[in-house]
Amino acid sequence: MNYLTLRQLAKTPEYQNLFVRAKEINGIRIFKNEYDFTFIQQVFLYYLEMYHNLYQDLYMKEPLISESVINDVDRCDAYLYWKQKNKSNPKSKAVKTQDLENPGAIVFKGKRK
Amino acid sequence: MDKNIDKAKIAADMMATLKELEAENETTELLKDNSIVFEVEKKTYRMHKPTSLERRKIDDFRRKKYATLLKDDTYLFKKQWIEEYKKKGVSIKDKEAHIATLNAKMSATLLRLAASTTPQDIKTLKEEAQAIKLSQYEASVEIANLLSDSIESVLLMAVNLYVGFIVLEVKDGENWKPAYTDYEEFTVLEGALVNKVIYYLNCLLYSGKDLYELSNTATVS
Repeated sequence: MNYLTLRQLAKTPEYQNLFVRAKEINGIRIFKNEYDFTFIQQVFLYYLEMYHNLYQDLYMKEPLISESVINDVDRCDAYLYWKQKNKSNPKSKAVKTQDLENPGAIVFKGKRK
Repeated sequence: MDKNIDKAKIAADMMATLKELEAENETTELLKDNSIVFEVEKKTYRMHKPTSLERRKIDDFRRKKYATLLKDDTYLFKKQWIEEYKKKGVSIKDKEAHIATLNAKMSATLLRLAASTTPQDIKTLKEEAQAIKLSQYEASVEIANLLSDSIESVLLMAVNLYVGFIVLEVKDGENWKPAYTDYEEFTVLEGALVNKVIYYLNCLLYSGKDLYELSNTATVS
C-alpha cells in the first residue's frame, strides 16, 4: 500500500470536494460500499479528514500553515506534530505571535526534561 | 547546455511522472470498493473482506496453528528469542532504545521544521528528517529480521496466507468461485499470484492486529 500516493490523492480538490459533499448531501458517496471498509479505505478516509482540517487551518490563517506546507509531506507532518503539541500545551498558544517572529525559538520554550 | 543530458533528464522526469500516474490510477481502483479485482496470466481474480463464516474458519486455523507451534520445542516466543540473543551478546532492548532515541530526535526535528521559514533551513531539516526516518526503518527491519522465527511472526505469516487462500476467488464465466479448494496446493504457489495476494491483503486488512493481540495475551511457557 502506497501511503504517499494515498496522501497525494486525498489532498486533490476532486477528493476534497467529494469528501465535503458526501458529508452534506445524502446519496453522494466516496466509495461504492457504504460500510465494511477495507484498510486502505480507512487510511484514505483518515487522510481526507486530515487534509480537510489542514485546508481549514489555511483558510483560518492559522500560524505556520501555508499552501507550500500542505504540498510537502515532511513539512505537513511537522506542522501536524507542532499543532498537536500546541493543543496539548495551552501555554504555548500564548507565544504564537512571538514564535512567528522568531520561529527557531519554539523548540526551546517548553520546560526541558 | 548538453542536449543529450537535457534529453535524458526530460525522459527521466517523464518516466517518474508516468509511474506516479500509474500508482494513482492503481490506488484509485483499490479505493473504489471493498473487494479487489485483478488479473494474473489471463485469469481474473477477486479478493474480498472475510465474511463472518470465513472469519470463524480463520479463527479455527489460527488456534490450531498456534497449538501446533506451542507443541514444537524448536519454536520460541519473541521474549525467549530476546533472551537467546542476549546470551550471544545481541541486545534487542538496546536496539529498541536506539529507536526510542531516534523518535525523540525526530520529534525535535519536526518542531524545528514546522517553525522554519527560510528555504535553506527547510532543506537542511527535511534532509535531517529523511535521514532519521531511514535510520528508524533500518533499525525496525533489523529487529523484525532477528525475531522473524518467533511464534508470533510465524503465526502471523501463516494466518495471512490462510486468509489469502480463503478470500481469493476466480472468475468462472459470470460467476465467482474459490480460486483454490485445497490449502496445501495454495501454500506451494509461487510467483505473481502469491505476491499480488499478499500485497492486496495488506490493502484489505490490518494484519498487524493479530500479532499485536497475540503479543499482548500470549504468555511465555
